[in-house]
Amino acid sequence: MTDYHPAEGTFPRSSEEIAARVKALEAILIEKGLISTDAIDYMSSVYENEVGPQLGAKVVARAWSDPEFKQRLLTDAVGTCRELGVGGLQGEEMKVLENTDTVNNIVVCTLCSCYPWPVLGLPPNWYKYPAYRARAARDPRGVMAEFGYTPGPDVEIRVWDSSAELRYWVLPQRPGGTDGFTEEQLAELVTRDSLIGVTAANAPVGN
Amino acid sequence: MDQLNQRPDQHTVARLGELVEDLPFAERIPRRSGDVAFDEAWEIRAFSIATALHTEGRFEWPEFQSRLISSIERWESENSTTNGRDWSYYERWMLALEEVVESRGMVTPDEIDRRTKQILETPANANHQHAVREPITVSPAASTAHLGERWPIDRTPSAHS
Repeated sequence: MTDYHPAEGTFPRSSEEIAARVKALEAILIEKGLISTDAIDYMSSVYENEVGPQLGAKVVARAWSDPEFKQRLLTDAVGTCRELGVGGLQGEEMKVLENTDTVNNIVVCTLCSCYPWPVLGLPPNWYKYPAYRARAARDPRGVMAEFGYTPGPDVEIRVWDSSAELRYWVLPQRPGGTDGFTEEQLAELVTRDSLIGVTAANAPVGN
Repeated sequence: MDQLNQRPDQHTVARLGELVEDLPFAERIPRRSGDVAFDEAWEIRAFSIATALHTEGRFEWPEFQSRLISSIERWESENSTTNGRDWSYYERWMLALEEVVESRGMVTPDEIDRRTKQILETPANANHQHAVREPITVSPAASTAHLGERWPIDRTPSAHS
């Protein structure tokens, strides 16, 4: 890292190095009281959907279209994501949780904000908030309701704790009215929130 | 924060849009369907640090703009356009941001170097390594509700560390 000086622009550097540098700058500015985490979070929230879950959406669309792929995804998420060129998960375990008519899953990191970001993009700010971390475990139905999602009383809700060692994400149910949709069309219905499990995937427009 | 699902107010969204429009080489900013897009988490973080500092009055936007221009021009003068590698908007952005905060005495290059090294040497989420293989809470379906809520179960957050 010592060979990196702004004025000299020694590139390329790895994504990991520059990510650490951004994190370092943020931490120092916050410690010195020059800016608050909230102020930075707030700015991020404007565009956070744009660091989108495009990769996760692509994987879900494939799983909805190809039952064998889905089966592989549920047994070996890391290897199966790699089939679609989704990587960056070396040394980490990842598990995909399937939503069904009778079971809905929701993911939280109770201690910090462990998140499978190579697949899902940037975690939303609320994922890091103590309120979400505490309430998702205590009152998952209440949290889902805040996102406008109310699974029926006959649906069991399971809450899963992501850690650095094992990260979870949710395979939402394929929305109705999507027969004959291409994978590209299906992927557009997959939202970040549906991959965390706080909502369902979007219904197609017109439904 | 009363609501988890809170969205930013329209004023901030519009103001950010204006800041972005005023950027040098604005046509080179990565976009998807017209909106500013980011490929990596650090990019949006670097973007947000700069816009938040400016919003809090820590520097004027033109100051950042001119640093960004020189950061991009420096790259272009040092690299041939035929070597196959193009500049990355947010790498240039981060360099410009560092120059602004350094020139204003907010941080020193050495502080950033040392903290970066420290972060690279610390394993991610060092305090949360333990895999939790069962649900931590199950809110049962109504048909099985007579079995009772299986929460709290005998797993507390301290079991992770």
